[in-house]
Amino acid sequence: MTADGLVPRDLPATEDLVRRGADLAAEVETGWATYARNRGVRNERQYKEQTIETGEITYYINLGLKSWPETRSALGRVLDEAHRLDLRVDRVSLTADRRMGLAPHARAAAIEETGIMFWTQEDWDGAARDLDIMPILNDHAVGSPAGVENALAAITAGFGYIGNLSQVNYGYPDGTSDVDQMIATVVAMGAIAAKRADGVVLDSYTDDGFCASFHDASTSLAWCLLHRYIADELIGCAYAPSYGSTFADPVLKQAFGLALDTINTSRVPPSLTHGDTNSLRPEYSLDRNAAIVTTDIYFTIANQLAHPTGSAVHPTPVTEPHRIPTVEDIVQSLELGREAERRARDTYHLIDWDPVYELRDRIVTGGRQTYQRMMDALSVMGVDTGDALQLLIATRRLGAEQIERLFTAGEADATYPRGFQPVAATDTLKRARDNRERVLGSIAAIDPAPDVAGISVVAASGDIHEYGLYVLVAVLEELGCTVHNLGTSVDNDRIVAAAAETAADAVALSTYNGMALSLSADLLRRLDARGIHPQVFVGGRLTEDLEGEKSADVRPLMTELGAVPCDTVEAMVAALDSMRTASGPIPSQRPSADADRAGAATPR
Amino acid sequence: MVARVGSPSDVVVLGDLGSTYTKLVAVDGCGDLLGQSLAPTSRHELDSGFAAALEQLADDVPGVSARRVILSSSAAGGLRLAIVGLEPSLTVRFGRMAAATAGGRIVGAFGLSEFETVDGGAWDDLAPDVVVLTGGTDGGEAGALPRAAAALRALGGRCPVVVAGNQDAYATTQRVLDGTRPVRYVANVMPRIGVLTLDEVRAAIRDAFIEHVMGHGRFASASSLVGNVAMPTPDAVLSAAEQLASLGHSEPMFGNPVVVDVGGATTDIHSVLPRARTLASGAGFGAGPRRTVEADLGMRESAEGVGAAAVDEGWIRDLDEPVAAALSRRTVDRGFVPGTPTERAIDSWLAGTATGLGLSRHAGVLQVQAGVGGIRVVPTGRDLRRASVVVATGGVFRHVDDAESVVSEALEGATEKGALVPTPSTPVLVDRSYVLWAAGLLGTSRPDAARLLLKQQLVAPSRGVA
Repeated sequence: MTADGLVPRDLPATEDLVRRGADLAAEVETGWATYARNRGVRNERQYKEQTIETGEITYYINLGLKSWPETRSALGRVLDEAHRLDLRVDRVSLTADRRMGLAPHARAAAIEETGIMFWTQEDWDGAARDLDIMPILNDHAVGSPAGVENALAAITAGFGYIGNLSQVNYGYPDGTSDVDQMIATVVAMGAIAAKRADGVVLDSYTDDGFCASFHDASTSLAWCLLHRYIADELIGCAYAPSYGSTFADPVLKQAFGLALDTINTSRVPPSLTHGDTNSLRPEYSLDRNAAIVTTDIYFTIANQLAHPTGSAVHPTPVTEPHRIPTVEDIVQSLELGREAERRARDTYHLIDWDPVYELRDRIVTGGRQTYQRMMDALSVMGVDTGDALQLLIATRRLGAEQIERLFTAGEADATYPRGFQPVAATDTLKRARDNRERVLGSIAAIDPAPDVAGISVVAASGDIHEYGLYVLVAVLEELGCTVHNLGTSVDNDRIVAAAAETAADAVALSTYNGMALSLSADLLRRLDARGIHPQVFVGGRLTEDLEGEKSADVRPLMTELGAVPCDTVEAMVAALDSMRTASGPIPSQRPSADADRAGAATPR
Repeated sequence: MVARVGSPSDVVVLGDLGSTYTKLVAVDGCGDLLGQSLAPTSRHELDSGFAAALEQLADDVPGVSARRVILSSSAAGGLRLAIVGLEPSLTVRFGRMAAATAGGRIVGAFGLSEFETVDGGAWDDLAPDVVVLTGGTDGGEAGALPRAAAALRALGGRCPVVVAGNQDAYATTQRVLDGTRPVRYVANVMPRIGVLTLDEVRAAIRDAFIEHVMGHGRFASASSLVGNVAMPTPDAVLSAAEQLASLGHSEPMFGNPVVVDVGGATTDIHSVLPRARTLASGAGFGAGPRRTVEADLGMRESAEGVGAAAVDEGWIRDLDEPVAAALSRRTVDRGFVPGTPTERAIDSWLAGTATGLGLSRHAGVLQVQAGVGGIRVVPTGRDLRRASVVVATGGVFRHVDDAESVVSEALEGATEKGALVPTPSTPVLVDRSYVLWAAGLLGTSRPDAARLLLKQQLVAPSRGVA
């Protein structure tokens, strides 16, 4: 009754998969990267452990052109310039093309995206040995269908940190099932675990996965606790979570880093603390972006000086929202980092860390609660919580929003989009709330003000998308509508029942699944069958695959059926307003299926 | 805040009528338990049974007087309730949930369109004692209540009605029902989508029971004691659970209690969840007090029911012949007293299994649904995993060996079945002095004394306390 569907039956045994990974790893020698060799250490992990003692700050950059030779040439120029300007740069994430996540034989035929392709083992070896910079593999490796091949190639070349466990929720265009993708992930982790003694670390850049959509940093920490348990305790990997690009608030950012350090029981130095990327905007001047970058990295460095963990720091290039950063952009970012570091060394002792510790403790307490609830519930749902493969499949299928709603440590509060007040609100949540304020502001500026007060609306999202609904509900309530919010993943039967009980004037349905026409038709049919005729507004991604056209714009067909497609919240408010204007104080109801369609209201 | 506590000399007698024994409890105004008594009583001899029990009590406790008595009635376990709402998934469901807390048995629940097709014969067979009409959110659908009222009027009968739907429709509903039967109008069970209010419905059903049902028809009695009945006994136990929950401010252990009441004929489960927690936020009605009654689970009359349900619900593969015979013996002989270690072990098994089954039915499960939008997990029903304590009450728990372990093992069994029951490590308290119902009854007029009584009597001798 409970487990069906969350994890399939007859999965392969995790221990066999881990052993397969170990067997494959036994056939390859762990390579020795030039960066490590030059510093007299066997691997990067060892060097990171030294920097904890020496207080050195190491620097990280992102770079990935189409091939290793092109990338090598650009990286060489970065290293030369850095040397000339006395700037430090230690490691590079070779941002990979998504095709790298496909099986090697499928890559050439797949659609090219941006990022590097490693076509041969020589490419991998070159990345680790041609230059005095440590490469890390953060994209489309562990977690992807090609996790095993990529991990083995990277180990052979001498990469130390191999990611990215957080990308287990990614989908790939080759039709690999989620089960097969997770099997590949477990085998790849088995290979990395077998090389733990050689200093090979399983990297997990958390902002690439579910954590970027969590509203509560304590849920993110719970997610890391889960992955630590899977990777370290169940499979035996040295697991290193890192984070940063979605963090704008410096207190939260440093507190989260310290929280990760608190749960780092195996003392694996983290890969990096990524610079704040999401705060940089194309509409901002480069100077304004520079101010954001400098402040961000100042606090990150100060935190490393006060609480060294071996994590590299990353000044985001200020041009990032405009273009793929050039060599000059990257060098300039390193300069910002160097200047911030100088000042941080002189002043970090002035910082009062108590508020950061206090927030860290809340995140850790909340994270542990959420983790415990998640494990208890998975067990109740019939998932074997001692089985890595089952845990990976089950949590991926649950999805970020459900995991957070079901297991949060926060208190219930309906004014938040997920219905609870976070222990430590993430910047993702803050942006959702800001967006709500922006739309409220734009509606308030409309003159004459729309008159929709007293209209009763049943609002729901047909899928997991929640932000549109969150903004819509806030706006309609602000305008005096009576809103019955049914939440996300609502099926049409529930909408019909709610519309019947509330005698709703209108139904507002949000959908992003590319099934807008079918969903609208089904809803209208069910309303008619129930004998009620509220006006139906549909927003979101109003497309569907039609004969001869993929993702066709189905808005005209929806209008024909009698639904009102809405591109924005503002458009829906205008349509509601015009309904009322057209028909006096009570908005016109949608005619029933057997009535004359010509009377159906259409949007302006 | 200063607790308002009565004087110690202020003796109150609390009584439970209507089962095979009249039970009396004397407490003082501070909630101290002064004495207890018990007298066998048949339904037609309420007065003599009560007099015998009172006399016993007066021998032990000075100051006991027939003038200061508050009574509850176990007879209400037989109260038959019918619910009529609009949409089966909304107001019908909410009406059921509200009515289930009131201390009766739900014999029928109908959506409006279904109710309008019910014929007189079927309705007479249901023979409800009280009907609850609901439908429409406040400000929402206003046609449902008058239509349900008209259909009810057409079915005839004079049983009392509690109306708890869209309040905008009360005037028109009143015009339909006026003069046909006693009607109480209370707050909507579902004032908004997903919001459950049950306190007023529960109180109205209780009042209708006391005023119009007790002393009439199947509940007829010559006794003048009936006039002193304040509430049905199961309702008193739920009130005690709420009193416990209110202790949670100072004693977190009591904050979210689950009460298991295993009787001879039924197993009642009461739970009080915090009003604002998030697991059921999507559902919105997971909070507040709730009671369920399992009429097929009990130690005597329903002993065979426990055996049958244990097999049906997968707790055991089948019933051994000797055990089946032992259960039959109990079903026939309600006064059966286990005389051998084997018989005591069978009582233990019955108590544990009734507890596990009752809790599994009361609690929800996390249901996994697969659809267009991917996998969805829906917590259906109540999530008791964060219950702070399980309190076991009912005669059996005073007699079986190691009652706490019996309950903990039941929690383990139900957890393994996937039910959202309290975790097996939840502290278990046993109501060994059997005062839970009395505390609930006392709480109506003296909540502080009731809380003190509960605190003093629910000491855990073997779990969680060194």
